[in-house]
Amino acid sequence: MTKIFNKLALSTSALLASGSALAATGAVADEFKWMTFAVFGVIIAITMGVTYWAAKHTHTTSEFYAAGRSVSGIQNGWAIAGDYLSAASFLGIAGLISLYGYDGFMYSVGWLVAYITVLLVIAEPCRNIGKYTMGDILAFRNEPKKVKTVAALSTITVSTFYLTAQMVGGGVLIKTLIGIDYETSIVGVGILMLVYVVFGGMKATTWVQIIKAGLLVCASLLLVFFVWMPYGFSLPDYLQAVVGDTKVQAQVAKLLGDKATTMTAAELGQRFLEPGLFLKSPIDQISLGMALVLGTAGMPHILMRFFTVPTAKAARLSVIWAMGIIGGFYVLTLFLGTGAAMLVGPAKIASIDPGGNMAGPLLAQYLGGGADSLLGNFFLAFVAAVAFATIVAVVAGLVLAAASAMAHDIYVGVIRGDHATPQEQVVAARVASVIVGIMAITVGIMAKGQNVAHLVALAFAVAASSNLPAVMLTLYWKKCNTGGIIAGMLIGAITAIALVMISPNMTYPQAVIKAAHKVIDGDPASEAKPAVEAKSGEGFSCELFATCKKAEPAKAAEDAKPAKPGTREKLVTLQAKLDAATDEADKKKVQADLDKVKKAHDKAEGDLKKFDGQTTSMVGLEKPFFLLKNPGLISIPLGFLAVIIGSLLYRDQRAEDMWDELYVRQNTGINAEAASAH
Amino acid sequence: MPLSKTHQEYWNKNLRMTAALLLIWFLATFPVIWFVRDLNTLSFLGFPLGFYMAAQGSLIIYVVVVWFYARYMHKLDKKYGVAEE
Repeated sequence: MTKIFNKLALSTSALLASGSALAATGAVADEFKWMTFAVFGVIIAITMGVTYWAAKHTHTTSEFYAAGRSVSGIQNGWAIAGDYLSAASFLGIAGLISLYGYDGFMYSVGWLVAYITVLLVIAEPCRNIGKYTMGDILAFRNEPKKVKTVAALSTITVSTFYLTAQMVGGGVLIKTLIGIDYETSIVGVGILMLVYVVFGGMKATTWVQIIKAGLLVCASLLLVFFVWMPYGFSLPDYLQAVVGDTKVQAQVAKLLGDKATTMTAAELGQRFLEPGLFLKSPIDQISLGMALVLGTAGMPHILMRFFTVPTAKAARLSVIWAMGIIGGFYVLTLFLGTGAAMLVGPAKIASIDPGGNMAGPLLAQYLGGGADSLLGNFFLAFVAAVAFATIVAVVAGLVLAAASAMAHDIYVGVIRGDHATPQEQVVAARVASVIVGIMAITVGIMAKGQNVAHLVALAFAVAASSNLPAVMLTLYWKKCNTGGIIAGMLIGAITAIALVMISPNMTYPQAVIKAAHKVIDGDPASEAKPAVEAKSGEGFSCELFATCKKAEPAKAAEDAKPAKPGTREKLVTLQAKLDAATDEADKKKVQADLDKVKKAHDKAEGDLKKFDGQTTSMVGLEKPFFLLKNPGLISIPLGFLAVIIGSLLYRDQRAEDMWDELYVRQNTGINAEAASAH
Repeated sequence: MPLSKTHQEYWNKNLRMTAALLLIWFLATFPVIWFVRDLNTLSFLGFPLGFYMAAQGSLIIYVVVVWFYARYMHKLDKKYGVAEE
């Protein structure tokens, strides 16, 4: 075992080293790349050491899935924080704040607000009833084989969606940061994560999460210290500086467009602290918010963390620590986001990555002394390495959750009818991890260049509409039974997925073709338009489905606009300009403009070619039928309803009889370790 | 295992506290975001209040809510003798 482990570790580091040869362009300059790899190397070496140690102590099923229930509350708290602070929340939120001010905070509040529901409603009872998986919780008072199959299916669906998003996001991020090839990054992340999970199980995964969370907090504290220090650690002074910063004001003016012309500089700065720069449709936001808040409690890799602690008290303690760490980190993002906006500037951040993900890394580089300094690049390398560790750690947690559903619920629970030796169980778990890991790598490579952002929202929507109703009602409703669980989980998951298939998240060829034509040919001149009054819609359902008239806000009068040239015309004029330019600096500038326009032109041409002749989306729609980006608003209530109706129709005396036992167990946790599928 | 009266009492207390804390949770989230423009006219620590709540205030309240729940439940576990050691 140890031998194979060593070999794998070696090939992983070789793989990462070969990445440097493939390096193209990234945020880190070429001459400082070695530093990034050195920091990467140190972090990988530490986690490998931990995995080696964990592998020696991982022999039984309980050790593999639940770290032998030996994780203390504080350790589990750090590990939960590690699981939760994915790259999206670590780099993404700071980026959104730097670009959009107030609206960026909606994400941090949204992520954290969810945790309260996890603790108050789900964490403790799950710890007391479950053994290793969500299937175990549901099997307590229902028919084990049936509910375990459905629970495993749902777990694997949710994990795959989230995993794909993490893999693709991670590949892109590593490429942007240090310029390693997309495919190489994905394979590197995949193999590293597999080594942690297969050899070290939950113990190694937990410690990788803890290390990563620790690094993340250290990096943030360091950056905040340097950002805030010049203001003598005074909050009002700092905020005054943000509001008064010309780069921030310019960004607000750009976002507001025509509306900004009548505003003073001070008003523009103040506007950065108000909502509406990024989020537009309130109903869509409520739907997304519901999915995030309720989905977190149904995420299998989060639920699984509560099985690793020895007592209910430790479960509670771990949530306090997790909340403290995550909350503390988000409180710091105020400085990271606004600091990046003020010191680096929104325009520069968006020029490297339009989503703002580079705000944190660029801020680190600036604080260390800029792009040409050694310290600045060391800071950047450190933040990049933390981002890398983040991706690997989150992916490892997800793979473990999916693998345990496959091995523990389906193979051991359903196929073997709960009769498997501990040895067989551990082997099954390891094989399942390898299968899931290879699948994640393949899907990650296949999904290159796809927009996967909606997959995260979809993962949360399925978790909220399928897992949460089933888990919650089996814990809190006496009449809940097998029929309800199966109906609820299937209907919740299918509705969520189906609604996304007909939502604006899909690609609609007609719209893409129209946009591409607009890029190439430009806008024709338009005449002055009179102001349009707000139109009232024909009811609430019209805001959700494209069946009737949607309410529209009032539009201000528009002046006549001259025609805007498209890229085709621009290419010609710029080429002429380039030929005419004599000054070297001028030439360079025109050339840069020309490259930019050419890129846009090529992309539009590519889109036209790709969608040539197609008129409908994957499911045969010309335009979205469901108007919200997130299905939560409809699919979550439907999931709950289906559990209730299914339970009432099915009737199962045993499920009701088991209620009393569950009721006691739920709040006392007596016999948690002895619990098994009844 | 039959359900004793103490268990019932313990569970009811737990549910009542959960409900109360969820109410605070809701108040610290929804109205604060909905009425942010009105709250921004007030000032807190030199910040517009609405902005401060989203940036730090609500987050701090959440952490306090969780801490309070854990403390309360720990005491309740001891009182009803269901604490695990």
